[in-house]
Amino acid sequence: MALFLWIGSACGAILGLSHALYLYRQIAARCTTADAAGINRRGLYYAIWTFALWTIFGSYVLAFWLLGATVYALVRLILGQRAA
Amino acid sequence: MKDVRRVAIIGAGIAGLVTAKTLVAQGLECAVFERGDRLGGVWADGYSNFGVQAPKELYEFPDWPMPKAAPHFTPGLIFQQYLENYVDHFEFRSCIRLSVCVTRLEPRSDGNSGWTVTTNGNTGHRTEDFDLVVIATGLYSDVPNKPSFPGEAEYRGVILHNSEVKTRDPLQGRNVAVVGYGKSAVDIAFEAAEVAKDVHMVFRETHWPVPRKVAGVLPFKWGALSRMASAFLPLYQRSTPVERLLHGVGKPLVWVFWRTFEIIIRLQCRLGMKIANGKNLVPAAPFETDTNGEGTIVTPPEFYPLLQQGRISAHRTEIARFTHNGIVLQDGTELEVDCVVLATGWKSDFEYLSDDARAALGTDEDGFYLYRHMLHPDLANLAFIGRATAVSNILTHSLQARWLAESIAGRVILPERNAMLGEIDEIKAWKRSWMPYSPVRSTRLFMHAQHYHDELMRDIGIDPLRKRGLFAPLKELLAPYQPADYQAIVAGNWETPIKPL
Repeated sequence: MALFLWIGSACGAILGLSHALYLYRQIAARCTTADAAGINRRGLYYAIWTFALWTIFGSYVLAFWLLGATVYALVRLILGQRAA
Repeated sequence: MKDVRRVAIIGAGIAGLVTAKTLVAQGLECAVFERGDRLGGVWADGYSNFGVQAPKELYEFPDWPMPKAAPHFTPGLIFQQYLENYVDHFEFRSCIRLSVCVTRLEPRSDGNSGWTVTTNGNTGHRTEDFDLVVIATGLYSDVPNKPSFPGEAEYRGVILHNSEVKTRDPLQGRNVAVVGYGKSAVDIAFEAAEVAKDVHMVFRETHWPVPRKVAGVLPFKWGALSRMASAFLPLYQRSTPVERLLHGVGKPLVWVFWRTFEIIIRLQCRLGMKIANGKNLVPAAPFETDTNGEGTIVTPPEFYPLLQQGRISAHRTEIARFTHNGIVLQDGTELEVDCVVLATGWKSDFEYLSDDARAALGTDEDGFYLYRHMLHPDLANLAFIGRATAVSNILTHSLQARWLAESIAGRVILPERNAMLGEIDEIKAWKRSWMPYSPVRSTRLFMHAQHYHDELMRDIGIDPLRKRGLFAPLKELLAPYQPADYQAIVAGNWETPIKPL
């Protein structure tokens, strides 16, 4: 269980970092010279939140992903057999 | 759209009113033509128990909140009064010309850009020139869509269109069959259950209902209007890399999300209940695509118990023919009914448009497609407000009106003709790739409205992230977007602009 939590959190952190960078760049790209500092701060704040949320909930996301992948595969298998 | 001074707005429903208010505030001279004798469009002409199906915080003008005393789900009569108060508050009643019908719309012949509008009203025919015309008559016309069936001539009962059922009187003490499964059909069946002898509903296909509270706990707006929920929908035309990743490697998450949602709604509304001929009410299409089709409704909580109790008998089939005392269904069932209500909607009708204009709009069966759901590049100085359907239409129309006002002021730079046509083709292909067919599919956005609102914001140069406060990032992800979030924008009073993309 502890290992799963670690793996989930690590996956979340990696995804979170990528998402945070993307979000920061998006917000910064919209920045005008009028309020550059303010928008940069905002971008950074959103990026920190994004990274934190992904890291905290990474293991839950992984659990739901595994659940979804398993049930989806089973359903496809059963429906596929019925169709056959 | 240059040198626009005089604007004609056709229709005084929500879309027409918010357009008039926005453009008048911009200093433009507006004339609103309304064929009815009261403003409000559908809200001035409803049946007895009609009302707004979304809670009031989702169905109010962003800069004119519903009164605190109004019921949570606003009845139609109160909503019409709210519209009257809106007009008085923003002082543009003098622009509205009631009982005036637009009969012809042609390009100006004096060499100026704009349109000549011919109207027919109390004072007879009149012709006026305008620099810009805004068509805000909604998706449909006043022409009912009444399918015909074999044997109608020998039927001794009455056949009504839902537009003819303004009160309970036509249903009183009768055996009634309501044809359809949309909002009007449910409302009329609900009404008939109060006063009629027997009530039947006949429909070809069912649609996923959206309960007012999911699992009886969570208001539906939390599941339908948040950025997270819109990311789980079938990919938007211009999706973000994060959304593409979610629908790629994250597909099992998306799949389990919607199937869980379906299970909850299926149990909550008891869609598996047996109806006539052993059928049930479970829709064939998955939730995430079906809810972008024609018949999605927020059902009143009392509706499904009426089906369960048998007060309303549901038949998942079609009418095969009429007999002298009733109808025969495709599955062979014979119903003795003396009143059949066809809740089968309306036809689109833009008869007043010139032939060239109609030719430019095309003859696609799923309706005509527009740039940003508002403009056609070959119809200069003609705009459509209200041809974008969302959960909160009133918000979408308000933002469209703001976008139009900014375009007129030259602060939204419109792309060239070919780029516009390219975008129109893209959205057409995108919708046809997954959205269920409907005669007005071209206008459908529903839960994708958030993406559309973001696009309008970026065009204007406004930050689309509207949530504020310490928890703004969390709210951006999970909290529903509603009219109040756009108050400053609709009022024309927003903060530092951003670079338009």
